[in-house]
Formats: sequence, C-alpha cells, structure tokens
Amino acid sequence: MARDVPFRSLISALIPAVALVAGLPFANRLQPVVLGLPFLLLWILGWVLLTPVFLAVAYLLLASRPNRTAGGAGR
Amino acid sequence: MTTPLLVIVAFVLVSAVVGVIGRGRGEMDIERWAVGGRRFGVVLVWLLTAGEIYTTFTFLGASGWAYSRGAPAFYILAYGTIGYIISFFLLPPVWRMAKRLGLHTQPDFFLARYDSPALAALVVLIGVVSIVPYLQLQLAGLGMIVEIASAGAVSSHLAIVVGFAVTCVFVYTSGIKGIAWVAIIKDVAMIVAVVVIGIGLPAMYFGGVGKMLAELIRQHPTHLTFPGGTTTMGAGWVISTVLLTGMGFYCWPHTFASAFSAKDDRTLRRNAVVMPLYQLPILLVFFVGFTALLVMPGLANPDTALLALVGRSYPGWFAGFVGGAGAVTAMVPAAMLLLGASTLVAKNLYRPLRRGALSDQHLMRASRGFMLAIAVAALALALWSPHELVKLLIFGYDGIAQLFPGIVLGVFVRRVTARPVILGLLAGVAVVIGLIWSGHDPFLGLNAGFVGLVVNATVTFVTMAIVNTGEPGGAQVPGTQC
Repeated sequence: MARDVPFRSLISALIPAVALVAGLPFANRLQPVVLGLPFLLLWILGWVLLTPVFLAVAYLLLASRPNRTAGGAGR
Repeated sequence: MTTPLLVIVAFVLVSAVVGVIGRGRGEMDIERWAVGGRRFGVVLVWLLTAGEIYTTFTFLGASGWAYSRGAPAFYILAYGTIGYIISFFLLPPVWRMAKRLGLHTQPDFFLARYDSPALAALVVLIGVVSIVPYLQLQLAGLGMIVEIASAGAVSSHLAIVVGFAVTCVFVYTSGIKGIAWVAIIKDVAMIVAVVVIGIGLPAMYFGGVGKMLAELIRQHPTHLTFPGGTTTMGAGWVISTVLLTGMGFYCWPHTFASAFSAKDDRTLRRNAVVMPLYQLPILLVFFVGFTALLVMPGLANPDTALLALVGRSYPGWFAGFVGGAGAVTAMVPAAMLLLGASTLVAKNLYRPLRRGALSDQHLMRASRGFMLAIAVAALALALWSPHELVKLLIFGYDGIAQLFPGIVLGVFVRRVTARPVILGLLAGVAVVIGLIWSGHDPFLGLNAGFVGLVVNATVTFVTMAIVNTGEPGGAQVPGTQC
C-alpha cells in the first residue's frame, strides 16, 4: 500500500477523517452558533462538506505520479 | 380509505409496474434474477449502490433519533463520510484482485484470498445474520407508514405483515434489474420529500431553520450536544459508533460487491470523492425530527415523528406522497437485501455443501427458498422483538463490521492466513453477542460492536504473530500479489 499510494495523498485523505472524529469531544458545545447551527452540528457538517475537497486533492496527487495513472496497477 | 392511504397505494402500484417493465423479457435464471446477468451499465450499477444508501433508516430512523436522542443522532451524518474515505484506499485493490481472479461475491473474495472454505462459510453466515435486523428495520418502517396512513384502522402487527407481503411480491415480480429502475423513483421522490419538509416544516412553525434551532436550544439546552437526550451516549459512544459504522460501511455483502461491478478502479476513487455530498439530505431529516420535538412532544414511538408531523401539517395528498416515498424507500432496499442475501446463501453456502453439480433451476429454487426463510425471520423479529430503527441498523453493523480486519489484512498484508482471521471473527462476534445480551451496550461508554472489533483485531494480530513464528515466512496464499 505504501508503494501504491503516495504518502501525501494518504495524508490529504485522512485529514478530514481524523479531524472530524478526534475533534468531537472538543466540538461538543453549542456556542458559537454560526448560520443558526450550533457548533457541534456545524463541526460535523463542515468536515462532511470539506471531505470531497481533501479527497479530490488526494486523487490529483495520485494522478500526478510520474509514471503511473491514478489507481492503476503500476507494478 | 383515507386520502394519504390512497396516494400511497397508487405510489406503490406505479413502482411495482415500473419494476415489472424494467425487468425485461426472457427466462429467469439465477444469474439474471440476482445479478442482472452481469451486463449492467455504469448508470445501473450506480443506481444499485445509491439505492441502498437511503433507506427507512435515513428517513424515519434518523428523524426518530433526532427527536428522541438529539446530538447522538449526528453520527448518522458522519459515518458515511468515514466509509467513503476508507473506500478511497480499500476498494481499488479489492477491484483489481476481483478482476484478476474473476470474483463475484464477498465470500468469493475470502475464499480466493485465504483459500479456506470454512472462512468463506463463516463470512456468509455473519453477512446473512447481520442483514436480518437491517431487513427488520425496513419492514418495521413500512408497518409504521401503513399504520399511520390508515389512521389506526390497520393495527401495527397487521401493517408489518402487509409490508412484508408487498415486499415479497415486489421481489418476485421485478428481479434485480426491475428494482434498480424503481430505485430511481425512490431516490428522486425521497430527496424531493426531504427537501420540501426539511425546509418547509421549520419555516411553517418557526419561520426558518435558524429560528427553530434557537427555540430548540432555549427549550432543551442539552439536546444538541452529547449525550443529548440520553445518559450513555457521550462523545466516546459517538466516536466508537462512527468508527465502527464507518469501517463497516463497505463490509456489507452488497456494498462490498459494488466494487466488483465498477468499470475501473479510478471510477471507485472518483465516486468516493463526490459521495459524501449525497449525505446532506440527512441534515434536513434531523431538522424535521427537531421540529417534531417542539411541535408535538411526547410521542409514544419517536420513529413515527416525521410521519406524524407531516400528517398534521400538510394536506392529505402530500402526506400520501411522503408516505409513498417512504414505502418505496423501505421496499427497494429490503428487496435488494433479500435478493443479495439469498443468492449468497445459495451460491456460497448451499452449493459448496452439496458438492455435486447443481442445475441452475435447482439453485434458483433454493435461492427463492432461502429468500423466503430470511424474510420470515425478519418478519418474526419485527413482530415480536421490536427495537428503535436506528438501534436495528447498529445491531447489523455490530456484526458486519467484524469482517473489516479480514478484508483490510487480506488486501494489504501478504502473510495473513485464514486461521488468525477466523479466530478474530469468532472472538469479536462472541464479545458483541455477550455484551448486548448481558445488557452491557454501551460498554465503558463505547459501542459494544466497537469493543468486539477491537478484540477481533487484537486476537487476529496475536494469532498472526504466533502462526508466523510457527511457520517461518508465513504460508503462501493465492491472490495476494496485488
């Protein structure tokens, strides 16, 4: 796997997962209320919305590997 | 007949007709009945996957938990996202392995990778047993829709039996290809309904979502943070549940096999990138549950909150539309789960056990028999062991997520053999059953399924270390060169 997926791609995809889950105990509060949403709900919703961005970056990092295509069996 | 019930019946009938037309002509053999003859285009494959994302769980279960539990329900918004992130790395190598070895089902994968019929049989059993509560959830949801739409004229038990009968007829007449087309109706109707009521109901009673949430915070200041309306579902429970269900997301036989039908591995990654956005309607479902809590508190069954509030707030025809969308949202996944599970038992358990060559007709008959048996099991549980809808899906995940270590290690670690995976699975399942039956769920503030998964992984790793010292270099297993 380490050879198959470059490190930076792995990091980019894992950021939203780790932030969303590990942040829950700290985000477990009502204030500040933003756009009417209490902070806890905003935290979860925000990371769900950001995940496609981070995954797209991970995808592009995979695709831009010098002699392989994204996800191609390159060995 | 009440207006809503009339609209619901019309909705279900139209869906059934689409199912019959969509199934096409020709002889039905097991391949065709269950996997559409393996000639599905990309659109149809996508529909089949998406068809299982929105179920009664999202529609009635999520609003019910938003109503009764509050913040712990937020896990439902989060776990799919974790599942998609995992799939970004996990599904492409699974796809490559399946393509190289010609695999069609999840037990095929375990058999090819671990070369152990015992493990493959265990995987079938865990898959089918985990699917039963998932099915029970759909039948219970259908029952609630029928009961409420009939204004109580049909009792809840009779309503569940009606839901079961409708689903069985739907499977027999449509087959998987027909069901895939009904899934289009289902998702469109469901999203229209959720957008209309998710924005409309808070606006109708409070003048907007923000004002509704402000009123909720004023009346129930603890409802929107963990542990919400519960005493046991703190941040630890939510984290362990998100991890359990996120890891289990692609462990279901049907979601796992969706990787096999993709055109290429890049398609799987692209899907993972955009799919989290498909979770957003869940937020609107929460809003409906919150509004219901403020407008009609004290419902005996929180899972009926959405239906009750819609029935009270909209004209009969629209309540019927929402009920019809809900009914199809239960029928389509129930039909897909039934077809998938019965085919799995017939092909990966019954056929290997019978050893000799079986004709396609024989297998087809067996598959239909298993389908009925699984459906009856779900029906019996729905009638005599009712649970909250969300709890039912968590039960399913408690079981199915136990396959995660075997899948991940099978894909990424070459030296893993069958024995550690089997022992881990047995240990994990035993812990889950023990904790739930003895009333220790959550255990130490953590989801019991997650505790089982930790035990499962630990046993697997420890046995792996022992086996590997016993057999230097580990056994060579086919299918690991990925």
